[in-house]
Amino acid sequence: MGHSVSYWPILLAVFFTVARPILAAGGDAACGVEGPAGAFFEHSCYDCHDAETKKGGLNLEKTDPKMAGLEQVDVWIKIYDRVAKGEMPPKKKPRPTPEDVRTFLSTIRPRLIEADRSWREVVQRRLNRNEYQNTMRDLLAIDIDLKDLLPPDQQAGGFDNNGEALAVSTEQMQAYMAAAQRAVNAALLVGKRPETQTVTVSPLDEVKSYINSGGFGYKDGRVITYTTDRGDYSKISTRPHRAPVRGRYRFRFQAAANDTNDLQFFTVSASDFAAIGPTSTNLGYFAVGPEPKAFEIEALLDAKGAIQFFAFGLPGWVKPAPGEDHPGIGFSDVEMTGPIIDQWPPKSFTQLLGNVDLAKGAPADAEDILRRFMPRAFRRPVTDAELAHYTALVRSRMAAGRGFGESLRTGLVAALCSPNFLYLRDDVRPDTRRVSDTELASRLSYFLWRTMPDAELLDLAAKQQLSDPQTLHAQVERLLTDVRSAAFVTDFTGQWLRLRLINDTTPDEKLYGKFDDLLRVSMVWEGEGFFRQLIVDDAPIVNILDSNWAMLNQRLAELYGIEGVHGIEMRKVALPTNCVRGGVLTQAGVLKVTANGTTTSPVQRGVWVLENILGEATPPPPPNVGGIEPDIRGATTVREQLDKHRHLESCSVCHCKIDPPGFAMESFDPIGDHREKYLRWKVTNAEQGWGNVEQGARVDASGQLATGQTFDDIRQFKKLLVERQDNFARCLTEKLLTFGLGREMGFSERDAVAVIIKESDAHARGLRSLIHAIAESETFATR
Amino acid sequence: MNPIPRRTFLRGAGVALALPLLEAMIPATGRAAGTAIPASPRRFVGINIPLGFIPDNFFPTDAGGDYALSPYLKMAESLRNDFTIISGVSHPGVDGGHAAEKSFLTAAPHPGSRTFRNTISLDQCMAQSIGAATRLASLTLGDQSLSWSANGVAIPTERYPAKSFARLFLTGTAEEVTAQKRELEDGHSILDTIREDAKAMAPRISANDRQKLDQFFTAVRETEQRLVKTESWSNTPKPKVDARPPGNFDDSDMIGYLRAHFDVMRLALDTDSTRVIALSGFNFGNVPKIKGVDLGYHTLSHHGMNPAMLAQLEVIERATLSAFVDFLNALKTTPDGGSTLLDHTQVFLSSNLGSASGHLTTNLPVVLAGGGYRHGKHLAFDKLNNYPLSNLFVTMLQRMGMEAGAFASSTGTMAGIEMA
Repeated sequence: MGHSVSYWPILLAVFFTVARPILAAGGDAACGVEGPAGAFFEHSCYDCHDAETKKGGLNLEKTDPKMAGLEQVDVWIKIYDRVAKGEMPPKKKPRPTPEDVRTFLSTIRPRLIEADRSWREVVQRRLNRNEYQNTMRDLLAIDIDLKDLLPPDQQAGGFDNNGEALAVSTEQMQAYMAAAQRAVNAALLVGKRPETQTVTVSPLDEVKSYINSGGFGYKDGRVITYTTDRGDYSKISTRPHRAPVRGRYRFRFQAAANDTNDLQFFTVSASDFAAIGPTSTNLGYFAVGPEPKAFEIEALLDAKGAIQFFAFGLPGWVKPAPGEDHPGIGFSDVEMTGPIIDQWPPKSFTQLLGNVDLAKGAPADAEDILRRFMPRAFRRPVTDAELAHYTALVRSRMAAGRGFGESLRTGLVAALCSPNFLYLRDDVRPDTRRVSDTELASRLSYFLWRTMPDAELLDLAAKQQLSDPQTLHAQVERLLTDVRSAAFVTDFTGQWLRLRLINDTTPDEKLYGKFDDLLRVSMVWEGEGFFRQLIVDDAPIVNILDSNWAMLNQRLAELYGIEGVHGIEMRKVALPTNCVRGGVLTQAGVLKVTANGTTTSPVQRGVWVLENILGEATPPPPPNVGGIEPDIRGATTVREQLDKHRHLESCSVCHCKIDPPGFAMESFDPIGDHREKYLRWKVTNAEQGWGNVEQGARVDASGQLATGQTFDDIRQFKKLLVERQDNFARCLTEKLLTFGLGREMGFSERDAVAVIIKESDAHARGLRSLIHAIAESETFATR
Repeated sequence: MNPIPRRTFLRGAGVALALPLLEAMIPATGRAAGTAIPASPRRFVGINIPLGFIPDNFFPTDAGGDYALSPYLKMAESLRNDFTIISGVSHPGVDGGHAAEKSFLTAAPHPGSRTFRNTISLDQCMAQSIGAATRLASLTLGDQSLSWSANGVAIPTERYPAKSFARLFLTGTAEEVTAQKRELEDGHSILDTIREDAKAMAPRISANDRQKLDQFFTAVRETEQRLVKTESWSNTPKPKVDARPPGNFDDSDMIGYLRAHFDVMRLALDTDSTRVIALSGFNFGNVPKIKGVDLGYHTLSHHGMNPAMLAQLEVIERATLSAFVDFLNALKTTPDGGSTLLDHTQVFLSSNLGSASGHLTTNLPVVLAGGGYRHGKHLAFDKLNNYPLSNLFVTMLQRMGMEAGAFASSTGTMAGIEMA
């Protein structure tokens, strides 16, 4: 999994040969180190890191004294950090005096800041797929999927909105043209107003022949399913009446649990049932008891679309026995109303065209339309010269014999392929590195809404009021309160906590029978919900390391062994004292995405903790050492294999840091269930595939940190993490800044990060306050 | 279209000669319409099986020409002299577990790192050189794109065989064709407009950003060239093939998908619609619909040597290889310019993982089939100090008629590969 950075297993301290000193104390680098820093190198580093020994792969003769280039900056940062933390020179070697270390660090620090800064300028970044989709939705008032037309974005620095990684290629350009065409066509779709109809659809038709033959029953006017299907096709649906046209539809139905007093769970999804690549959109998850309950769902359906019902937690198969009842869920007939039309022509149409008739427009009308549209599309006022490019295009198309409508579409498509739309543009200004208020408006809205700024932000920016501290604070508050901030929570936690990877493995049903689709989505809800709750409550971010509460629903509470949580909706629950849960490390979603489906790997989980909680980059294993191939047959546990591993010097440098957090998390299986012992599948009949679940070795979740501190289990480990909450605060702040600015934070911004954290200290380091401090910081408004 | 001058190698001699390939004189209706293509073009197919194969089942235990077929390779016994097995190879510096898929055809180091940027993939390198001759410069198929542009952007991939079939062989309605022509015309003026707009940006952005803008200009220019090509081909009817379009498959039917992709690929090569194809494996989160398999593919790959899981994994891997063998047989039975399609198509199948259970990216399993090489042997390189796989990429580039001396981490051409 995500090891990172260039190979750097053992970074020992610095550096250089006698003949070629590599660092000048403040002067020209080429003339070499003289003075105290030079003495430090001589005494402390040269033994191991010359061209001959190059311990840990570090040959200081190749290290650039000018620190030119990102790679060299990275090397120097590591040198600085290892020396600053006292990790280098290694313990076994003679120690330099604290005074020598201080002098050395203060010598290279200013140069490093300078070298780093030249790489930290925000690069012009284009919208990524999510941002593009959201922006088109808000700009054109349309609700069609454009994301699938665009090539996937690459990540850098852990996020897919990083300007470094967001290249534009020919494929990208072609995709932009196709997506813009589809979007503009959807916005300007005209035709007769479709008739809104209400019909009653009976799901009974399709299941009639299966009633009482095992899987289905029919009682009190409800079709009952006794089984859980894990596919994407359900027999209980509104397919008998497909949606006549694309649009929004309302569905009303009743459901009830059958033959059980327990709450039953189900989900509803919409599909177009296309022959090739059918779509499936989840419309929500619901709970119902034995009392019939009325439900109402609104959904966007494609033409020929319908909704289907899926039950959870029921057996995969029920033996047919006439007259016998089984636990299940019953669904009544469905009242379907639609397409629901708020206004006709739709908002997308009138918003663009105003009063202009598409059939009779003139070039001057196109100019009016573009004059209104382009400032919104470009997220700033537009010059006459810019406007002229696009009006000229419409004119030329009309001159070539195209109709007004078609020519206007071409002009709009062009504006949506302009770099002014596609890139978040920051202009160079000779006198200042601060961005303009207009540019700040986009930064804020793409950070906290993941979409274009709205009229209020742009108006304030136009009046030069946005950068006023009080106004800015109020706007950040407004953005955080708005529903659009949900996209920030999803995009950020999806990448920081890796919740986007929740589908990457399917846990072995035999070993982890508690896992199903409902638990899977609940895992994501928990991660997002926890983060959102911290924002809502402005709760201290130390909660992320350990908390006495959690965001749970019944499904998660059952997994965690916490009683009294009923229903499907997430809520804040106080955790019992001495509970192993609390904080993100013990959230089922995090535990699942850091596992392999069947096995857990302390290495993967350890790397995750280092990178995402403690903010320490972990290099990939050196070549040719081989990885660990888990073997559960013998007596060796993963832990025993790793112990061996850690006694090799070349491995131990990193693994003494990586493994301990992973060990602490070993008391959780691949679906996040707490375990005392490992489970394994014992085959009893290989031919038939029979076997049973057996308890294996006892889990040992104890460990020792590189600092020498020890822990017995996850609870103690989390306490040790809390002691290091300053490291975590730095890590989280850097991640949020990286995400907010679309670029990685560097050495030169360490002070700025510290200032931001200090700012939030006034509010007990609450997450909401921290986000305020970031969005209102100097760094956030600097190019 | 003008004839495209093309360099090709004299068989076996390794001497470059300039030979014009008279593509423009050949109606692009393909062979199905009865027109022979005089000089059989060289072709390339690259396939990645992202979870690889259980090494002991895949690799022969001995090397050389008389090697004993491994358990898996027994199913390809009849093709023994049509392929070479290569072991002890990998891309230097390509680590990061599953992330290595991105570097499968690019060999760009450290795909899992936070600062990773990809480079051009082998297939795109070929497409740049020979893609102008065919309707489609290249095809990228499967669930994950293996194809990357020079500036590290993934080429969109086609997941549905039915959609690639339609793109290759089906013609839209007259209305759709007219609309497409108008769109192409409008496309030129759109590109002109945004180029002017972008030019106006240049003085106001930083030096770093100018690189981003240059990227934009390049994309605009190349898009324009593609429009021109699409326009010129739009007057040539698509080839007619005597095959039914592939149907729809259940999401978990990975072998169904794989076989359908193979069918379309053979047709695409046979009609000379493209000469370069990259096919990636299946999204492996699901439980594949194969008899005897009830666990997720990815889950099974982390078998921890559990025999029951290994047995199921073997079922999946055998089904995959069996579909591949059938594909090779189909190419071998398709005549092509006096020889067979397989002889003129170098087929490279491998994995970005040498052993998925430990996410190892070394000792990759490699099959090189067809392409006119002297096959029938197991080329075994050092398992501890792997030989660079990019060397094979250089060999394959040269086999396409390109004067390539290097590719990514290569140190030369592949030792031990000769022409038949």
